[in-house]
Amino acid sequence: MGNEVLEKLQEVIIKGKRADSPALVTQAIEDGVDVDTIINTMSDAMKVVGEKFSKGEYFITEMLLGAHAFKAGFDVLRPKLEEKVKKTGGQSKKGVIVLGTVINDIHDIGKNMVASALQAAGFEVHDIGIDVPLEKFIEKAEEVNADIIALSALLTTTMGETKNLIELLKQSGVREKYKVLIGGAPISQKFADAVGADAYGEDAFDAVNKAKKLMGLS
Amino acid sequence: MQGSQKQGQKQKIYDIAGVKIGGERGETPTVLVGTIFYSGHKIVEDPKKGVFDKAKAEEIVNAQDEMADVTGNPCMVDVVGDFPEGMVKYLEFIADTTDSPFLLDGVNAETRIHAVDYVKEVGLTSRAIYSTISHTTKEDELQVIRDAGIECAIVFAFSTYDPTPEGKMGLLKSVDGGPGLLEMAEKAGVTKPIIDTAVLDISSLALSCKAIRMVKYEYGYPAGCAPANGMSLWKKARREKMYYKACEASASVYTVSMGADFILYGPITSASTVFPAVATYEALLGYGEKWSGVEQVEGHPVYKMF
Repeated sequence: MGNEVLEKLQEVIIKGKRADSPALVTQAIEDGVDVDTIINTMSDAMKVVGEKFSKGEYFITEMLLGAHAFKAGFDVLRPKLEEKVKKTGGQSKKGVIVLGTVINDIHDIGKNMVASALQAAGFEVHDIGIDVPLEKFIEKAEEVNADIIALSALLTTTMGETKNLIELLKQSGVREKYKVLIGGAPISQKFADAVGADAYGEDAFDAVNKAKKLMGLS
Repeated sequence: MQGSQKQGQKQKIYDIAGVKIGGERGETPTVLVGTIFYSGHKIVEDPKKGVFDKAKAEEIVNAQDEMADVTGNPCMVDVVGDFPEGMVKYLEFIADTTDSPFLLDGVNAETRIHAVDYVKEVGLTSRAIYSTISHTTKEDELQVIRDAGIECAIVFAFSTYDPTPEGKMGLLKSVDGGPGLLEMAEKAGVTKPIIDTAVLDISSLALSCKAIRMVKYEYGYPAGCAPANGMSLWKKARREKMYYKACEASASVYTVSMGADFILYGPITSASTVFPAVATYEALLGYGEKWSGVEQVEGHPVYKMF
């Protein structure tokens, strides 16, 4: 990498030091480092977190800390990224995703990790929070011209909302417009197939891979 | 670090409907809390209306009571409800079936508030433990607890931003710069806070146990956590039934060995695995501590297991 600030930035994300990442992003911007280089550095760090998780070296705690360290840095970088997209008039993103936890479900840990992992992979993520009525998913997707609607459900009593969303998309005549990606502890590939979802993400990094596939990127 | 509790705050012991919780290492037996009517529990037929297999429910609640009697580890029932109406049906049943204290563990505020109204109405507040006061608890919920006169609540020390032991301790002092969880509990009129140091997955149980020691050292409050939360996500433990049971017993004993005053051990049907495992450990611990001058309470596993 050859840049001490970027090396440190990568290290703090891998080690999940949320308090340190914003200052390092600010420093990199002030040093004149290109926005793309900064975001690529941060994305590479999240890839390392994902690899360590896959290998069983990291667990949910490290994933969560890494995701928060990424997000804290990303929040500082976001205005610069948006500025650049406006200037170039192009789209640097891989796809637009509306993400939320379904109604009557207030779990946000998994959703937040998925949001950070998707952002790190270059997706434009609109996180609409927890306990979200199904209509809101569609409203937001229409508003931001989303490619994918991603739903999280952590309870057996709320997992059925994923099916309800797909029904609502059909009733609204927009099912073909959006890919539906679902995940959460009680959800499985079998369940995703049964409700007619386009993909199932087993964890945050699997969700990224599935989102890329849905966008024809891998 | 053993003995640090003695160098820190005096350890508090609460009496909740006859169940003692808290104290110095080896002083009182760990309270084992089994969960019933949880999301996906097969005995539940209609969670909205609270329809369930009563015969089966009675059998498993009685089995936990019997295990508590045989081993000397007291028990509580964690009553989970997804819906207000269903929750009241569950509580009616539990109140009639066992004398044990129970947790009002509604998955949403509406269900919890409804449960509080119910226990107040029928005079069960002294057996009820509010579950939980967390960083998401709103003012109106705190007021409902206060108005009902519920003295005991589980204070859930979980921070999505910082799941480390230090992060959990920080939440007790302050939530996002505002009052901390302990101040919130005080606001709710809770005089017997029990701290749950929040388990994310099985590996994080180690961090939760570190936090238990920190809580007891700094505040002296009874503290514990739910190894069950780690068990439910632990795929490698699910090779076969006996393998899982050994992992479950070990995770429970580990948590108790780290100083937990209570554990949420998971489905109440796991009582036959968890109680003997924990009680064996506690009987040995108690006997050892007895030689160091710590007297055990009446009915402790040391008097039951050998």
